[in-house]
Amino acid sequence: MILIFRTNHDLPTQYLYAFMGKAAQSIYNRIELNGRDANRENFEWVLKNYEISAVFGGGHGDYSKFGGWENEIVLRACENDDLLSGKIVYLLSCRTGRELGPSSIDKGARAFIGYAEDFVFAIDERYLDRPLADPLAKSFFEPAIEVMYSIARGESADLAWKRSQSKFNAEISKWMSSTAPEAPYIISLLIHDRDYQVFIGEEGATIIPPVAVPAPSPVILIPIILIAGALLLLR
Amino acid sequence: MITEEEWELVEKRIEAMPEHMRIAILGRVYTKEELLNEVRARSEVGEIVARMQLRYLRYFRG
Repeated sequence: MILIFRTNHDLPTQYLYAFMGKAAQSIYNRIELNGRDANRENFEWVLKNYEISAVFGGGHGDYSKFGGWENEIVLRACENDDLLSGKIVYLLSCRTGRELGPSSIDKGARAFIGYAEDFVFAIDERYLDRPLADPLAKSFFEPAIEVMYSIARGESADLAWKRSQSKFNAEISKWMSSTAPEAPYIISLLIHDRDYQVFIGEEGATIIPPVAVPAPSPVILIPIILIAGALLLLR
Repeated sequence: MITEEEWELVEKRIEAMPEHMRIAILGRVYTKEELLNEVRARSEVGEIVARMQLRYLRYFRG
C-alpha cells in the first residue's frame, strides 16, 4: 500500500497537489490524505495502522522537517522519522533531502528521494486556475512525478530517481532548442531541481518483495507430459 | 560570494524576464517585479535567484 499525502493550502502547494493527484490516479493500491486531511494526526495514524510500503509526500519542507496542511509539521528529523522505517519515501518539497532524508535512512527507511535545496518551478500566470494545463509548470512537475509512477510500477527507488533525472534532462534539452523568451529562465530552474534531487538508501529497494520464480524442472515436466499424452490417447 | 558585478548581471536578466512568468521559491510564488525587489534587496530569495542564474551562465560557458 502506498500513502499519498498532499496539501493545497497555498499557490505553490496547489500546483504540486494537482500534479501529484494526476500521478495518484494511476496508482491503485493507495491511501490518500489530501488537503485538510494532510495533517500530522492522520499521517501518523495511517503509518501505524496500515502496511505502508512507500510514502509520497507533497508539501512545504525545510532541511529537517516536512509540513502538511497550513504548514503543520508532520515529520521532523529525530522526532518521528522512525515512522518511515522499512519504507521507500519520496518528498516533493524543498530541502528535506539535506537532513530529514538522511535521518530517516538512519531510522530504517529503505530509500529516500527528495530535494536537498529548494524545489523551484515556473508558472505561466495565464494558467493559474488550471495548473495541469500550464506549459511551464509541466516541465518541472512531469519529471518530479516520474518518481511516483516508477516506484508504483515496482521499479527500484534508484531507478525511479534515474528516470526522473532523465526526464529533467529531456526537459532541459527541449527548452535549449526553444527560442521562447521563457527558455533561459526555465532551464536555469530545471538545472537547479535536477542537481539538487537526491537519492539516498538501498539501491534496488522496491515496494514489491522479490519473488523467485523457479524454472520448471524437466524431472517434473516429463512425467506430466507423459500422463497428459496417455490421457489423450485413452479418449 | 556573489560579486557586485554578478548581482547587476542577475538584475538585468530578471528585468528581461517575460511578464507572464512567475517563479515559486521558498514556499511563495513571485512575480517578475517581486523577484526584482528581492534581487535588489540581496535577500535570501534574491540570492537563490542569483545563484541559479549564475549557475546557468557557467553551465553554458562549460
